[in-house]
Amino acid sequence: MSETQNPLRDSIQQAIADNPVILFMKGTPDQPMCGFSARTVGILQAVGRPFAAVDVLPDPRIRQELSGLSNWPTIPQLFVDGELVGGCDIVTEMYESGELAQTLGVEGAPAEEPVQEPAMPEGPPLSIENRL
Amino acid sequence: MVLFAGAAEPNHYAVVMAQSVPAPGPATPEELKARIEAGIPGAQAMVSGDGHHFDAVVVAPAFTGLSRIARHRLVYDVFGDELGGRIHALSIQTRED
Repeated sequence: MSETQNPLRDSIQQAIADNPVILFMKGTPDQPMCGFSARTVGILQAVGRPFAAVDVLPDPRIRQELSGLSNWPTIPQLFVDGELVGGCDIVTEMYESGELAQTLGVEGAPAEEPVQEPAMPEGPPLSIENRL
Repeated sequence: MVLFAGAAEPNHYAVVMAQSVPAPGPATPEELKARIEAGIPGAQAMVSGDGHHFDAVVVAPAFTGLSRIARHRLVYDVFGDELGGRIHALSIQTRED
């Protein structure tokens, strides 16, 4: 578990730990590159909870390490408070049932979100688009 | 197939199985249905798809008490590395009973 053994995996873990809501996706929220990622972004935006986003496409190792960490084979992957919530299907189901707003802590009136600094220190390989 | 009391889900039985073997050629809804039903005890699956993108509705008593994440993992585990490759995308809905 040395921090230097796998810096990419460490970066992913750190990003998940630092961002209360973080979506690993293909493309970016403004330019999703896959229908499942696009739908998940649309749902998060509809719920109104700001989220951080990581594009897994620039380097295939991001997806490989992420799936190794999460034991989840597909993209997108939504994490809330460090826990994997699921992919597009689960997010869609939870949105339709109202559970997603509850999980995201935005039941009722839109919550006022504190402005947070971008979580990642400078430098690749992970790039986070911070939507907070 | 082996049933054992899983450490990760202490109150439930986890299902462990060898990943099933893909049929030769492109994936078909019929193949996915058969493999899901063979891989998850008591499962019934409805699968549609175009050879790359598939939609599966899976009903199985094995899902009872499991989280959505755990249910989806049971289905994903049937296909292993084929997901994202031979099976480009698989949308899953799960129901118990």
